[in-house]
Amino acid sequence: MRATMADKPFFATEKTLREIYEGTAAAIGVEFFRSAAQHLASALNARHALVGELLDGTPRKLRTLAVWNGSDFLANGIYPIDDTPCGAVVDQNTHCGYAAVEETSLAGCALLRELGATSYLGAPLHAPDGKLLGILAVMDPDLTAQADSRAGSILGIFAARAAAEMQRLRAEDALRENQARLATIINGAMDAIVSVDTHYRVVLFNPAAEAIFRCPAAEALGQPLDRFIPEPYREAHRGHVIEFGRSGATRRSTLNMGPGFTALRADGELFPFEASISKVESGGDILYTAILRDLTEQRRLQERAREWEGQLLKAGHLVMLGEMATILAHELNQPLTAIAGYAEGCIDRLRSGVADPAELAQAMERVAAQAMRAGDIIRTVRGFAKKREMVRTPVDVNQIAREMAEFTEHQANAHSVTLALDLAPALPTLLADKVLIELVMVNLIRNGIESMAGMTGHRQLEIGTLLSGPNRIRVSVCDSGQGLPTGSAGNVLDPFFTTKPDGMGMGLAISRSIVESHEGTLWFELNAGRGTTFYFSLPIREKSHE
Amino acid sequence: MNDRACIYVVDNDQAVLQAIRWLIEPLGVEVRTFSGAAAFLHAYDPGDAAACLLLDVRMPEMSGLELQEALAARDISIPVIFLSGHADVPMAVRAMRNGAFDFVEKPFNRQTLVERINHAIAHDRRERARRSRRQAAQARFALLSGREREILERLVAGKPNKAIANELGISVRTVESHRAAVMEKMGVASLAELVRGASGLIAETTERHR
Repeated sequence: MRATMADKPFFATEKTLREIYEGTAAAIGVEFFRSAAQHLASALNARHALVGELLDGTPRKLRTLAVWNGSDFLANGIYPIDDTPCGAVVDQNTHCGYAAVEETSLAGCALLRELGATSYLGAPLHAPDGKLLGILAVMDPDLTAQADSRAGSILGIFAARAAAEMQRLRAEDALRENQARLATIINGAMDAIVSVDTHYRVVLFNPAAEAIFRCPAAEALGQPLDRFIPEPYREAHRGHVIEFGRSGATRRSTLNMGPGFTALRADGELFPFEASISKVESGGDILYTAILRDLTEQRRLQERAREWEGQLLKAGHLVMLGEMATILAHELNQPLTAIAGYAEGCIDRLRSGVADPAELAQAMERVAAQAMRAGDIIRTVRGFAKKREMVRTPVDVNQIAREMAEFTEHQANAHSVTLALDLAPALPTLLADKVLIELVMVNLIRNGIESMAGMTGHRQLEIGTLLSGPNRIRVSVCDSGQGLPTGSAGNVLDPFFTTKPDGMGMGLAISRSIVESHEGTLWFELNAGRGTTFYFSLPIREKSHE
Repeated sequence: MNDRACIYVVDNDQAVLQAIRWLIEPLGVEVRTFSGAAAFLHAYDPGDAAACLLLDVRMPEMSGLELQEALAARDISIPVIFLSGHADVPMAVRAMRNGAFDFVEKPFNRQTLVERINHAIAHDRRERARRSRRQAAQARFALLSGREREILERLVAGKPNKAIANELGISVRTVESHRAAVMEKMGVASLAELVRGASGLIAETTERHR
């Protein structure tokens, strides 16, 4: 009997140890909790066991992770724990045992009723920092014999292991959540995100990188980064990365590679970009991650904006020329009128012999004063205009013709004029001031368009270029307009000559002076049919002749 | 009638005003200058001297064209010569349509200006004479009796005495005596003169009575 009594604890202990080992060693996750519950019940000779995690918020609730009813696992659920033994465990933050729960004030447990249990032994599950994570408990129709310190120790062992597993699961969840969030960011990013390892092999290649480099991730992953770096830069870029790896810096921009550094798409296209690189060291390996933005579109927009700015400036120049001429004409007319009046008044008095020297002197003083006033006006206007230095660069006349045709297309459409180009192929470039030649071209095109205003029939303006001599390029602008009033042809190029009701007559005069400042000539011919053709020809000068 | 003439000049530019005065004073005309349209309107008095107005187009506040319209609205009849900078066609068209007498581009030479001024003064003199003759004729016309007006109307219409007598149911002799009284009162010596002087007046009177 004694022996039996003595054996029993031994066997019980051996069995218990086996239960502890089997119940806590094998599985992880949900399987672990089931195994723990089942083996805990067995170790403590209890019929039921549960593992649950405490949920945040009030009223306090327990979510079961495993409930062993003696022969099977119940479906998990969420149970309120106020006025229950589990609630008491939480309140007292230590293990609690009750032989007859129904005799206490903790009879509110639905699970106990469901299982038909009356006695309860439960322990809190603590995180290493002391935070209460959940509860581990056994229940039985009659557990009185087991509610001792040994049972408490066994429960403690299971609880420690269950708490560790619960902690591990939570950390795993948080990690998974982080990874999912990171993946969302990486996959949804507009910028290419590319990581390489210490062997310069691609280990991350997000969808934006696939789009920007025109390369599926499957083809890029595991391969050296070289295929995305233009050949001349490959060596330097590798060196750049290695040097970055050794340096103390954790971030750096590709600007260090110098201007003009482009990236290479899988199809061989180069593109401008900006990127920042960061490195993360983990377990002796270094992960380099570049966040890279394709600047192609941005550059294109910038280019376009610059172009437009230039065109606006040009349009502004033309408008300003016209406006300045109007202001100049009016402002100068005043002193000139006064000067002419005084001078002729003097002549009149001198001729008729009624001149009073004092009076004449005063009139002449006024003439002088008005001449000074006229000078001031001109100085002011010239101050506005700020004489521009001529800047000669190699200029492609055909390109100017095309660009100016495009620039005036809107006006042509508005006047129902068709613009046609007849450009000689492979013209040599000229050394000229591009802006000024553009101005001449726009002027002639606009004149042509306006000369056809109010006409019936086909309205066409043809812009032509021609190699007219061994070193001369001739540009022609041919309209089908009204031509020129008879007898006026000789005056057309004079300042202020105009056939337009609101014209100032400055356009052709300015154009001529621009062409002449380039050692060229500007002239026109009346067409055989109708309309007029304006020409200008410019000498081709080699840069070496400068 | 007299030979006196007055030239009004309106320009916001003092130098231009003084120069024009210097240029045209030797013509022996009165020159009155104004630096704005409002000042001119305030000071203008038709008087009995022939006049013309040299008017700058571009002025702050009230432009030359606006002043021209203000004159028309006030029934002021004075030949206007516009002075303008470079030819502004739409503006010139508007000015001429509104009855401008002439248009001179700045700067102008003396001869051109003097010619235009002389034309304008002569025109105004004729206009004034015509207006005063008409006023006199109107005054005389007012003296005629009802019967005399009836007879005058028919004379102007070119009807012979006999037809008039038949029409009015009076004797030819009575028509003749009325006709003599009409000529006396209208201060004319011949039938031709009477018809010339009276036709406008009658048309005007009939218009008013309609």
